[in-house]
Amino acid sequence: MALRLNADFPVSNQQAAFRAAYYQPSFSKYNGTTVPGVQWLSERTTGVYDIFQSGTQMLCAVRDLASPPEAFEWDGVWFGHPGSELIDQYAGTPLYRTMLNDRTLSAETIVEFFAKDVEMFMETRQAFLLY
Amino acid sequence: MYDVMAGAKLALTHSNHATKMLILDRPNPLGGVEVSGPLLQMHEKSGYGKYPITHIHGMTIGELSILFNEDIQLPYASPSSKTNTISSSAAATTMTSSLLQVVTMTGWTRDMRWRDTRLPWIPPSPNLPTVSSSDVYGATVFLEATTVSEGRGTTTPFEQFGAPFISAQVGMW
Repeated sequence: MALRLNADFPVSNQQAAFRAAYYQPSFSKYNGTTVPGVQWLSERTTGVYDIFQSGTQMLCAVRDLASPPEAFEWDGVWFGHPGSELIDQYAGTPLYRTMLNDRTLSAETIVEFFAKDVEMFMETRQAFLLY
Repeated sequence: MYDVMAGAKLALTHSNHATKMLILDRPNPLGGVEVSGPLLQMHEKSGYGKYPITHIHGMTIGELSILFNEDIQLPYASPSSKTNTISSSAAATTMTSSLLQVVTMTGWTRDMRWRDTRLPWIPPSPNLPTVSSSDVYGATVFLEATTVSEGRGTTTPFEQFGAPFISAQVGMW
Protein backbone atom coordinates (compact mmCIF):
# COMPACT_ATOMS: atom_id res chain seq x y z
CA MET A 1 0.00 0.00 0.00
CA ALA A 2 2.87 2.37 0.77
CA LEU A 3 4.26 1.95 -2.74
CA ARG A 4 0.87 2.67 -4.32
CA LEU A 5 0.17 5.72 -2.18
CA ASN A 6 3.63 7.17 -2.65
CA ALA A 7 3.06 6.88 -6.39
CA ASP A 8 -0.34 8.55 -6.03
CA PHE A 9 1.04 11.38 -3.89
CA PRO A 10 4.41 12.43 -5.28
CA VAL A 11 6.10 15.05 -3.11
CA SER A 12 9.22 17.12 -3.60
CA ASN A 13 12.80 16.22 -2.77
CA GLN A 14 12.12 12.55 -3.51
CA GLN A 15 10.61 12.13 -0.09
CA ALA A 16 7.89 9.64 0.70
CA ALA A 17 4.61 10.70 2.25
CA PHE A 18 3.62 7.19 3.33
CA ARG A 19 5.61 4.52 5.10
CA ALA A 20 4.63 0.93 5.78
CA ALA A 21 3.35 0.50 9.31
CA TYR A 22 2.05 -2.37 11.39
CA TYR A 23 -0.12 -1.62 14.38
CA GLN A 24 -2.32 -3.31 16.94
CA PRO A 25 -5.47 -1.34 17.74
CA SER A 26 -6.49 -1.58 21.36
CA PHE A 27 -10.13 -1.02 20.40
CA SER A 28 -12.32 -0.65 17.32
CA LYS A 29 -11.68 -2.56 14.10
CA TYR A 30 -9.25 -5.50 14.25
CA ASN A 31 -8.46 -4.79 17.89
CA GLY A 32 -5.98 -7.23 19.32
CA THR A 33 -4.61 -8.17 15.91
CA THR A 34 -1.66 -6.86 13.93
CA VAL A 35 -2.86 -4.71 11.09
CA PRO A 36 -0.63 -4.11 8.08
CA GLY A 37 -1.01 -0.61 6.79
CA VAL A 38 0.64 2.74 6.29
CA GLN A 39 1.47 5.83 8.28
CA TRP A 40 0.70 9.08 6.51
CA LEU A 41 3.41 11.69 7.00
CA SER A 42 0.93 14.42 6.35
CA GLU A 43 3.28 17.33 6.83
CA ARG A 44 4.71 16.37 3.43
CA THR A 45 1.35 16.59 1.66
CA THR A 46 -0.54 19.28 3.57
CA GLY A 47 -1.21 22.20 1.30
CA VAL A 48 -0.09 20.20 -1.73
CA TYR A 49 -3.16 18.02 -2.22
CA ASP A 50 -6.78 18.87 -1.55
CA ILE A 51 -8.26 16.93 1.34
CA PHE A 52 -11.18 15.44 -0.59
CA GLN A 53 -8.88 14.50 -3.45
CA SER A 54 -6.57 12.79 -0.95
CA GLY A 55 -9.41 10.84 0.61
CA THR A 56 -10.71 9.74 -2.76
CA GLN A 57 -7.30 8.53 -3.91
CA MET A 58 -6.89 6.59 -0.68
CA LEU A 59 -10.27 4.93 -1.07
CA CYS A 60 -9.40 3.96 -4.63
CA ALA A 61 -6.08 2.54 -3.44
CA VAL A 62 -7.52 0.38 -0.65
CA ARG A 63 -10.31 -0.77 -2.98
CA ASP A 64 -7.79 -1.75 -5.66
CA LEU A 65 -5.30 -3.42 -3.30
CA ALA A 66 -7.76 -5.51 -1.33
CA SER A 67 -7.02 -9.21 -1.67
CA PRO A 68 -9.48 -10.78 -2.20
CA PRO A 69 -11.28 -7.79 -3.74
CA GLU A 70 -14.52 -8.53 -1.94
CA ALA A 71 -12.78 -8.05 1.41
CA PHE A 72 -13.12 -4.31 0.83
CA GLU A 73 -16.72 -3.49 1.68
CA TRP A 74 -18.77 -0.49 2.63
CA ASP A 75 -19.62 -1.25 6.24
CA GLY A 76 -20.16 1.25 9.04
CA VAL A 77 -21.20 -1.38 11.58
CA TRP A 78 -18.61 -0.18 14.12
CA PHE A 79 -20.46 3.14 14.20
CA GLY A 80 -23.95 1.70 14.30
CA HIS A 81 -24.56 1.91 10.56
CA PRO A 82 -24.18 -1.47 8.86
CA GLY A 83 -23.72 -1.60 5.14
CA SER A 84 -23.42 1.42 2.91
CA GLU A 85 -25.50 3.83 4.98
CA LEU A 86 -22.52 5.47 6.68
CA ILE A 87 -20.51 6.35 3.58
CA ASP A 88 -23.60 7.92 2.03
CA GLN A 89 -24.13 10.01 5.17
CA TYR A 90 -20.48 11.05 5.37
CA ALA A 91 -20.38 12.01 1.70
CA GLY A 92 -23.85 13.52 1.82
CA THR A 93 -24.79 11.69 -1.35
CA PRO A 94 -24.90 8.08 -2.58
CA LEU A 95 -23.16 9.17 -5.78
CA TYR A 96 -19.73 9.10 -4.15
CA ARG A 97 -20.11 5.44 -3.25
CA THR A 98 -21.55 4.44 -6.60
CA MET A 99 -18.71 6.16 -8.42
CA LEU A 100 -16.11 4.52 -6.18
CA ASN A 101 -17.73 1.15 -6.89
CA ASP A 102 -16.93 1.69 -10.57
CA ARG A 103 -13.31 0.61 -10.90
CA THR A 104 -13.09 2.16 -14.35
CA LEU A 105 -13.32 5.64 -12.84
CA SER A 106 -10.14 7.30 -11.66
CA ALA A 107 -9.98 9.29 -8.45
CA GLU A 108 -9.47 12.41 -10.54
CA THR A 109 -12.67 11.75 -12.48
CA ILE A 110 -14.64 11.30 -9.27
CA VAL A 111 -13.25 14.49 -7.73
CA GLU A 112 -13.96 16.41 -10.91
CA PHE A 113 -17.57 15.19 -10.88
CA PHE A 114 -18.19 17.16 -7.70
CA ALA A 115 -16.49 20.31 -8.95
CA LYS A 116 -19.86 21.88 -9.67
CA ASP A 117 -20.87 21.32 -6.03
CA VAL A 118 -17.72 23.15 -4.96
CA GLU A 119 -18.39 26.02 -7.34
CA MET A 120 -21.96 26.31 -6.08
CA PHE A 121 -20.99 26.31 -2.43
CA MET A 122 -18.16 28.79 -2.92
CA GLU A 123 -20.73 31.19 -4.28
CA THR A 124 -23.23 30.42 -1.49
CA ARG A 125 -20.77 30.86 1.35
CA GLN A 126 -19.41 34.19 0.15
CA ALA A 127 -22.19 36.17 1.83
CA PHE A 128 -21.50 34.56 5.20
CA LEU A 129 -17.76 34.97 5.49
CA LEU A 130 -16.61 37.09 8.42
CA TYR A 131 -12.89 37.15 7.64
CA MET B 1 -19.29 16.72 7.72
CA TYR B 2 -18.72 16.65 11.39
CA ASP B 3 -21.08 15.99 14.20
CA VAL B 4 -19.99 19.17 16.03
CA MET B 5 -21.28 21.31 13.16
CA ALA B 6 -24.49 19.29 13.06
CA GLY B 7 -24.76 19.84 16.81
CA ALA B 8 -24.40 23.58 16.34
CA LYS B 9 -27.26 23.57 13.85
CA LEU B 10 -29.37 21.50 16.23
CA ALA B 11 -28.70 23.94 19.06
CA LEU B 12 -29.78 26.85 16.88
CA THR B 13 -32.82 24.98 15.60
CA HIS B 14 -34.04 24.06 19.05
CA SER B 15 -33.39 27.40 20.72
CA ASN B 16 -36.64 28.75 22.06
CA HIS B 17 -36.22 32.17 20.44
CA ALA B 18 -35.83 33.67 23.90
CA THR B 19 -32.35 32.44 24.70
CA LYS B 20 -29.36 34.25 23.29
CA MET B 21 -27.00 31.97 21.39
CA LEU B 22 -23.43 33.16 21.79
CA ILE B 23 -20.98 31.63 19.33
CA LEU B 24 -17.33 32.10 20.28
CA ASP B 25 -15.65 31.80 16.94
CA ARG B 26 -12.50 29.74 16.49
CA PRO B 27 -10.14 29.13 13.57
CA ASN B 28 -10.97 26.38 11.13
CA PRO B 29 -7.96 24.05 11.65
CA LEU B 30 -7.78 23.45 7.91
CA GLY B 31 -7.86 27.14 7.09
CA GLY B 32 -10.58 29.05 5.35
CA VAL B 33 -9.62 28.69 1.72
CA GLU B 34 -10.09 25.06 0.64
CA VAL B 35 -13.59 24.05 -0.41
CA SER B 36 -13.87 20.52 -1.74
CA GLY B 37 -16.07 17.47 -1.93
CA PRO B 38 -19.75 16.81 -2.47
CA LEU B 39 -22.53 19.10 -1.34
CA LEU B 40 -24.76 17.34 1.19
CA GLN B 41 -28.06 16.30 -0.33
CA MET B 42 -30.82 16.78 2.23
CA HIS B 43 -32.17 13.25 1.82
CA GLU B 44 -28.84 12.11 3.30
CA LYS B 45 -28.92 14.44 6.29
CA SER B 46 -27.95 12.76 9.55
CA GLY B 47 -26.16 13.33 12.80
CA TYR B 48 -23.05 14.00 10.73
CA GLY B 49 -24.52 16.65 8.46
CA LYS B 50 -27.74 18.64 8.51
CA TYR B 51 -27.23 21.42 6.00
CA PRO B 52 -26.11 21.56 2.37
CA ILE B 53 -22.44 22.35 2.77
CA THR B 54 -19.50 20.67 1.08
CA HIS B 55 -17.35 18.04 2.78
CA ILE B 56 -14.56 20.58 3.24
CA HIS B 57 -16.30 23.92 3.65
CA GLY B 58 -13.55 26.30 4.73
CA MET B 59 -15.78 28.16 7.15
CA THR B 60 -15.52 28.85 10.87
CA ILE B 61 -18.16 27.75 13.37
CA GLY B 62 -19.27 31.39 13.59
CA GLU B 63 -19.71 31.68 9.84
CA LEU B 64 -21.55 28.37 9.70
CA SER B 65 -23.88 29.50 12.46
CA ILE B 66 -24.87 32.53 10.41
CA LEU B 67 -25.36 30.32 7.36
CA PHE B 68 -27.51 27.86 9.32
CA ASN B 69 -29.53 30.77 10.70
CA GLU B 70 -30.75 31.52 7.19
CA ASP B 71 -33.23 28.71 7.80
CA ILE B 72 -33.84 29.28 11.50
CA GLN B 73 -34.15 33.08 11.37
CA LEU B 74 -33.02 34.04 14.87
CA PRO B 75 -32.58 37.81 15.05
CA TYR B 76 -28.95 38.48 14.19
CA ALA B 77 -26.79 41.50 13.61
CA SER B 78 -23.50 41.44 11.71
CA PRO B 79 -20.29 41.81 13.66
CA SER B 80 -19.18 45.44 13.44
CA SER B 81 -15.42 45.20 13.66
CA LYS B 82 -12.49 43.08 12.61
CA THR B 83 -8.95 43.93 13.67
CA ASN B 84 -5.54 42.64 12.69
CA THR B 85 -4.24 42.16 16.21
CA ILE B 86 -2.96 38.65 16.86
CA SER B 87 -4.77 37.48 19.95
CA SER B 88 -6.05 34.26 21.37
CA SER B 89 -8.99 36.02 22.98
CA ALA B 90 -11.94 37.07 20.89
CA ALA B 91 -12.97 40.68 20.28
CA ALA B 92 -16.53 41.13 21.52
CA THR B 93 -19.14 42.60 19.22
CA THR B 94 -22.16 44.47 20.45
CA MET B 95 -25.48 43.10 19.35
CA THR B 96 -27.70 43.62 22.36
CA SER B 97 -31.00 42.99 20.63
CA SER B 98 -30.00 39.93 18.64
CA LEU B 99 -30.54 36.34 19.73
CA LEU B 100 -27.62 35.01 17.68
CA GLN B 101 -24.32 36.66 18.44
CA VAL B 102 -21.01 35.67 16.92
CA VAL B 103 -17.95 36.84 18.81
CA THR B 104 -15.39 37.16 16.06
CA MET B 105 -11.71 36.39 16.31
CA THR B 106 -8.93 38.89 15.94
CA GLY B 107 -5.86 38.15 13.88
CA TRP B 108 -7.10 35.13 11.93
CA THR B 109 -6.94 35.20 8.16
CA ARG B 110 -8.35 32.60 5.83
CA ASP B 111 -4.95 31.32 4.75
CA MET B 112 -4.02 30.33 8.31
CA ARG B 113 -4.13 26.67 9.22
CA TRP B 114 -4.02 25.74 12.89
CA ARG B 115 -0.21 25.63 13.11
CA ASP B 116 -0.08 29.17 11.72
CA THR B 117 -2.15 30.46 14.63
CA ARG B 118 0.43 29.20 17.15
CA LEU B 119 -2.47 28.37 19.46
CA PRO B 120 -2.37 25.24 21.60
CA TRP B 121 -4.36 22.32 20.22
CA ILE B 122 -7.14 21.28 22.58
CA PRO B 123 -8.51 17.95 21.32
CA PRO B 124 -12.17 18.37 20.35
CA SER B 125 -12.43 14.58 20.48
CA PRO B 126 -10.29 11.81 21.99
CA ASN B 127 -9.67 10.62 18.44
CA LEU B 128 -8.34 13.97 17.24
CA PRO B 129 -5.48 14.22 19.75
CA THR B 130 -3.07 16.30 17.67
CA VAL B 131 -3.02 18.92 14.95
CA SER B 132 -1.75 16.23 12.57
CA SER B 133 -4.87 14.17 13.16
CA SER B 134 -6.99 17.16 12.21
CA ASP B 135 -4.91 17.66 9.05
CA VAL B 136 -5.76 14.17 7.79
CA TYR B 137 -9.21 13.57 9.27
CA GLY B 138 -11.13 14.98 6.32
CA ALA B 139 -9.47 12.44 4.04
CA THR B 140 -9.23 9.27 6.12
CA VAL B 141 -12.57 9.59 7.90
CA PHE B 142 -14.24 7.91 4.93
CA LEU B 143 -12.41 4.72 5.89
CA GLU B 144 -14.66 4.50 8.96
CA ALA B 145 -17.42 3.45 6.57
CA THR B 146 -15.40 0.52 5.21
CA THR B 147 -13.79 -2.70 6.39
CA VAL B 148 -10.43 -0.87 6.48
CA SER B 149 -9.11 0.26 9.86
CA GLU B 150 -8.78 4.04 10.14
CA GLY B 151 -6.36 3.75 13.05
CA ARG B 152 -8.76 4.16 15.96
CA GLY B 153 -7.39 2.30 18.94
CA THR B 154 -3.88 3.63 18.37
CA THR B 155 -2.13 6.80 19.47
CA THR B 156 -2.34 8.20 15.92
CA PRO B 157 -5.91 7.67 14.74
CA PHE B 158 -6.62 8.66 11.16
CA GLU B 159 -2.88 9.09 10.52
CA GLN B 160 -2.38 5.39 10.00
CA PHE B 161 -4.71 2.95 8.33
CA GLY B 162 -4.71 -0.56 6.98
CA ALA B 163 -6.39 -3.92 6.89
CA PRO B 164 -5.45 -7.60 7.19
CA PHE B 165 -6.39 -8.02 3.53
CA ILE B 166 -4.01 -5.34 2.21
CA SER B 167 -0.25 -5.69 2.03
CA ALA B 168 1.59 -2.86 3.73
CA GLN B 169 4.47 -3.17 1.24
CA VAL B 170 7.74 -1.70 2.25
CA GLY B 171 7.83 1.91 1.08
CA MET B 172 10.54 4.13 -0.24
CA TRP B 173 12.48 6.65 1.85
